[in-house]
Amino acid sequence: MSNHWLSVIVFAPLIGAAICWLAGRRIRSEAFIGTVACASVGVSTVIAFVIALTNAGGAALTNDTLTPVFSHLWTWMEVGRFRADYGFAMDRLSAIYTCFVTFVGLLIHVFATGYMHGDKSFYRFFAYLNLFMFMMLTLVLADNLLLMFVGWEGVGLCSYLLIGYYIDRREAGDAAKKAFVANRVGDWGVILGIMLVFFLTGSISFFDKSVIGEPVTSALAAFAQMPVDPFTAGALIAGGVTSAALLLFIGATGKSAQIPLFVWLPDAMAGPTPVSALIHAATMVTAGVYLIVRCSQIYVHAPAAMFVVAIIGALTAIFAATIGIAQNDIKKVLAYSTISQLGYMMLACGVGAFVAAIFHVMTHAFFKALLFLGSGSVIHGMHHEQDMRRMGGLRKYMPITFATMLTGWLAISGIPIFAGFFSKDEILWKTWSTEALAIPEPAAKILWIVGALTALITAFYMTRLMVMTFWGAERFREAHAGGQADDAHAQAYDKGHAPHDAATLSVADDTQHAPGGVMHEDEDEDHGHHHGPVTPHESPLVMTLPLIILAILSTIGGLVGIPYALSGGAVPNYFERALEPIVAHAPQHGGADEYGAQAAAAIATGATAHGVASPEMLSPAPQPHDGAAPVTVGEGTHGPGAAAATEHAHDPAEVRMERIFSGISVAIALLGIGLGWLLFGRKPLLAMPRLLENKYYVDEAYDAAIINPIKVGSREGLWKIFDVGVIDGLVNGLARGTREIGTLARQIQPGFVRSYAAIILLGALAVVGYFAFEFRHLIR
Amino acid sequence: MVPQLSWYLALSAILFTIGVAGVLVKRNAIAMFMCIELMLNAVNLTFVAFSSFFRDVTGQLFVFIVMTVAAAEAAVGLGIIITVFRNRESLDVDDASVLKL
Repeated sequence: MSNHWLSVIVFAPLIGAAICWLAGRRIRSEAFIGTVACASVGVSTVIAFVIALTNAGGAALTNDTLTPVFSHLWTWMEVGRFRADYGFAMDRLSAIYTCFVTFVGLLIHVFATGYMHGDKSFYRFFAYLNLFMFMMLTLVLADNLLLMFVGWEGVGLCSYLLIGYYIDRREAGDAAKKAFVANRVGDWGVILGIMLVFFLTGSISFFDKSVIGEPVTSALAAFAQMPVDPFTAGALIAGGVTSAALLLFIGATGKSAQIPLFVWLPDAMAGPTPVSALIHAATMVTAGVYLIVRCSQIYVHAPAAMFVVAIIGALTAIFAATIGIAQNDIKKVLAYSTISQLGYMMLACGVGAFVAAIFHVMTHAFFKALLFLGSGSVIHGMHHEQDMRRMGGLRKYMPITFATMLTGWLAISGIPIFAGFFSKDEILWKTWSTEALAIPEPAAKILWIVGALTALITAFYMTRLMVMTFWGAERFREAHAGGQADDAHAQAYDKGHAPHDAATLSVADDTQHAPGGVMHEDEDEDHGHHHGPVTPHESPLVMTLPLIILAILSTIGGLVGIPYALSGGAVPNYFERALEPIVAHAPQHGGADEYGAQAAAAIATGATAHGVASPEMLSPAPQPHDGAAPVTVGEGTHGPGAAAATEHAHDPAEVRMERIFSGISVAIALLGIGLGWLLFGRKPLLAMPRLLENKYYVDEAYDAAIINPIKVGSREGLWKIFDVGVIDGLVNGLARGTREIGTLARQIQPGFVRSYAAIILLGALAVVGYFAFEFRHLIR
Repeated sequence: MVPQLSWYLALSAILFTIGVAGVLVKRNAIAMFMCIELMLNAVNLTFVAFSSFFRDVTGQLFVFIVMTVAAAEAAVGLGIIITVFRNRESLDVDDASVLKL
């Protein structure tokens, strides 16, 4: 069905951005700008939920026909067979994305009005933030790859603008450039991937639809008709489906900060904390996962690419988690944690558990936004101190922040009931039990071990973060040098109006609102007092309210996706039921000849049958197991396909195994928390391995291996040899040659009359001589 | 002995050569000027000689044209020479080798 309110979801934040930029910069009223920015996102949120859930709107998330809600605005370009529409579509996947992006975005906008209070370019911040929402919604609602790429580039631009928001800080500018360049590398993959998709299928649309009566076919449906690519390394570069999948994955590694392009995300923490929460935790960085799940039909036909995705995901997860142990900046810990969780999502995509990946995207959006906003609240309350070594014991001063972050901590660690448990547990279980053709049997187990280890480390470093921040001795009273804090924000903050929270400061500390932005040389008592310790304070309501809402979501948000094994069928797995029909299903290990071409072809038709066309609700069926319970997975895939997934979900042996694995997950989480508690409860400042603290020297390695060679090559080769030698040489040589010719030609014009006369004479003689020679026969 | 055409032509050629040599050799502007006149008159002599030889008056008419042009040229040339002399205090053409004064 068609519903043009869908476009309003996308364009409302754009209008908000325009008002903030054009009117806000003149009015300069924080109340006006904040209201406009929040209201525009609020409009999107309301419409998004209406369209996703109510029948009047189209019920994109809940209708049984699986038809997306369309809003075709205009035909963007049409050249030969190529056609790109400026049109939006909301199917179940984009409905989920749109709902959490708008809702979490709204909360973060509200939070930011408190956090950015007093900043001198308040309007610019909210204009960028609204522009980001516009681009992000374009990304998730676009109905074809090219329009999605517009959003993809747009969020990259807004990310750049917001990381570099503090324009007077050099590291912010550097970080912004780094993010942009790293993303460009990925974008190169996406655009080539889109070209290859068009080349292979003749379409870039996600859906079958009709534009003014003219049918447009879906590229993904075309992929569904293709045979599965062979599972070989050669397929990666063969220019077929696997290559397209790999190219799109390169884009995903850039946007979703996977190895090898993850380096930009930790540096992106130079931006304001609400930006980190919105862009670098909850929404933009999950765009890579969205791309892969959206194109799941491509991936299931490219087992080699899926294997790469799984390996990269698992490696990133554990790699980033170990770095997270040793960071002291509260936002850096969360940044590495984000990378690690994104690795989980990629792992889930790689093993074919696309639904689990999206589930984790959603729960992660809740708890990671919560943790980031919580850290923002802490930073705000600590007057822009980000170093956890100078915190401690904050739970007394910031009870609401503490309580909300507690839920975020339990959620990310994977304690049952909390949202993160269900999604993480599902990913781990799906990794262990995957039958996907893409993952050889032993690899699945190894990937599971890596994932489980990551879960342990995650619980461990999050406990460290919590202990260092909220428990233990109050270290913030010790005089400190400052420096690591959000200097620019702090200064802008001080230059602004009287702090809203001045009243909450104790009398003894009322002169100390200035953060340690500048270190004074003299250690004089009086000056030491001035730049000395601060008393933390709880944040205002506009900041704690989003925290509370996100805390509730982090606690109960996972309940929409309780796996069958844990609920026993009492509570349906709403999430899986909603998404399972629209994602593709990976071909699975067949019989003995699992890589045989015939088996692959059979699998492909099976995947087609229930990947695209089947409108049935696949899982879980209300009754646990019917007569044909012990259907093995291998056989199931060779069946018509529609029923296979349902059957395998309820095999009692599997259910038992899944329960055992859930137990293991909980044990791992508790072990991580326990270890962290024992270790850091006593010694919160315990020194961490230098290798980890220095992030495995990845930045240094990139500097040495890529950046410096480029710099040196540019300076010594391109500049000093090519530019100076060839380009300048050509131009200068041309000039010199002209001058030499001129010098020669000048000789015949010396200014002496008699030489002219001589030349005239010579000329005359030459003419006479010529005629005399030519007509010599007439002379005699 | 009746003068023959070739005698006139030979004389004319001798006069013309003297004029050319004078223009090339002399540095004095007046002297160069006179040499140019010499060349013009050598040509005039040729015209007249041929006119008489062919019994055709056209050659003599042409001589008048040459003499008119020579008179005009003399007026302009002498004007230039006087101006150069005023500025350079010299009649040497090699002193007037640049366009700027």
